[in-house]
Amino acid sequence: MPRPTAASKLGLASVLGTLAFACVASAAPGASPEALVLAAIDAPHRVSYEGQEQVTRWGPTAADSAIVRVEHKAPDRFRRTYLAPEAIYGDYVVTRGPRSDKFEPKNARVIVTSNPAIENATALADNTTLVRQNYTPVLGPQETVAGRAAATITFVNRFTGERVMRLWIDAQTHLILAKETYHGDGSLESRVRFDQISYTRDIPDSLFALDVPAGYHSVQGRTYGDPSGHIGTAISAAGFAPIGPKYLPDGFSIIGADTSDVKSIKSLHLLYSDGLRNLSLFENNRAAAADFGSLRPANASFAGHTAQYVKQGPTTLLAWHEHDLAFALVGDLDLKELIAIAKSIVP
Amino acid sequence: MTNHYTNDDFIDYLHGELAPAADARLHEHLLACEACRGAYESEARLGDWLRRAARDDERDLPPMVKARVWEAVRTQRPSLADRLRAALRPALALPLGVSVTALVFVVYPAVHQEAPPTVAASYYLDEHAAEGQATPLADHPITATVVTASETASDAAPDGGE
Repeated sequence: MPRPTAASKLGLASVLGTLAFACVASAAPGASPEALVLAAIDAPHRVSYEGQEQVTRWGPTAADSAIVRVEHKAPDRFRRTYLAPEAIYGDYVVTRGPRSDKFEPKNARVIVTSNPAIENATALADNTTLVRQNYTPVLGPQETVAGRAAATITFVNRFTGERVMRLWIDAQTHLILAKETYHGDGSLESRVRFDQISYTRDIPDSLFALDVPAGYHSVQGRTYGDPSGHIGTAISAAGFAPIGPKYLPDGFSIIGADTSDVKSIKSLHLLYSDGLRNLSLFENNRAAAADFGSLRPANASFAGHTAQYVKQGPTTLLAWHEHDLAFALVGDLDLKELIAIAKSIVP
Repeated sequence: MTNHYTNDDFIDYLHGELAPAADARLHEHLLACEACRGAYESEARLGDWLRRAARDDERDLPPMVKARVWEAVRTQRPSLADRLRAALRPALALPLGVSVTALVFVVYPAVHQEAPPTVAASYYLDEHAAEGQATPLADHPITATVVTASETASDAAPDGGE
């Protein structure tokens, strides 16, 4: 899918903001599901709050869960303090725009990461368009979350008829109070839900300070890639002819690409999305296989290949070789779907 | 004291075998009795001479014995095996050198190949999760890291920093 240039990012962001603002005004009782969704997307930029939420992601046989205290000052400051599990109890992360600093009192260190994708307005606008193209938002009955009245919206895939996501949107502020995602078979994949929330702007700025506390040391963490719409440029930078999938699930299209150096290996990242779900295809021509480390991969066979895959929560990583290229396919899709895509990646 | 000490007393004295009181009395007696002092010094010189002689015997063989050993070395002829080894030494050295060279440049690299490059699976998973933040209804970026908290808690230096 062709994407606008970076120069038009501001314009698109403004358009999206204006659209959302207009929708907020109209997202009163009786507003359309589309208007509610757009208002929900924009809500964190307008609404400040403090609260506590629970995050759970289910894998095939187990689940990861965390309880987090959240302070948010609109438009882009967050502080998240982990209350459980015990291994990260007391750790907190301060996010200001694309930068996130994770403070670890037990290790007396701060890990600084940067994720430019967070404020990539172009990608956000493109994905919003994809959501509208690929999903039908269905308004459900009003429910109560954390003591707040919430409208419920279920996203139904226009091609498969499957329920993919459900939102609980604060009827007054339009903040998303809870969200669930579902596997293709309808089983629960993930849930984020506020247990308690109060709206206030009276949050001290010092909570979002990025100063390194006395006695701590600072560690430079990752700077994540930011797949741009200039796919040709990213492919050129990779220095080899990549192979893309001939099959993608309905609604998915390529939305960006970038090339990163990983241990001096040029790794090309092709990013696909249907608006709600992402799919990443990584390729390198150094036959650099995936090192699963402490993860325990299982084997899968398809089209004469022996691949390895691992599931981490709802996310599956499938890795294999084809001629001199090494591939890794990552997505919140079922293994069967990932293998169908992998089969179509042939020279 | 009018009595004199015997040679046995002096030997025990020289070897530190007397009891402390007897040792002190003999020492005092030697200072006063010239006869005993003379006998004691004779005994002491004898002991020194015997020790020196014993050490000299350990160092040097008698001259005749040494001469016979050297004569045997000079006159002995090398065995057939010794002569064969000497003759073949150049012929063996070349192939041995080639073999060692081959081992160093061919066999060793084949056996001890550098580990092929790899990319950490966590790099793929983290990159995918991070870039998914550009979707409008994505979980908060920090929420996404919660599920890998058990890994990041023990390993802070994300391999993406590579």
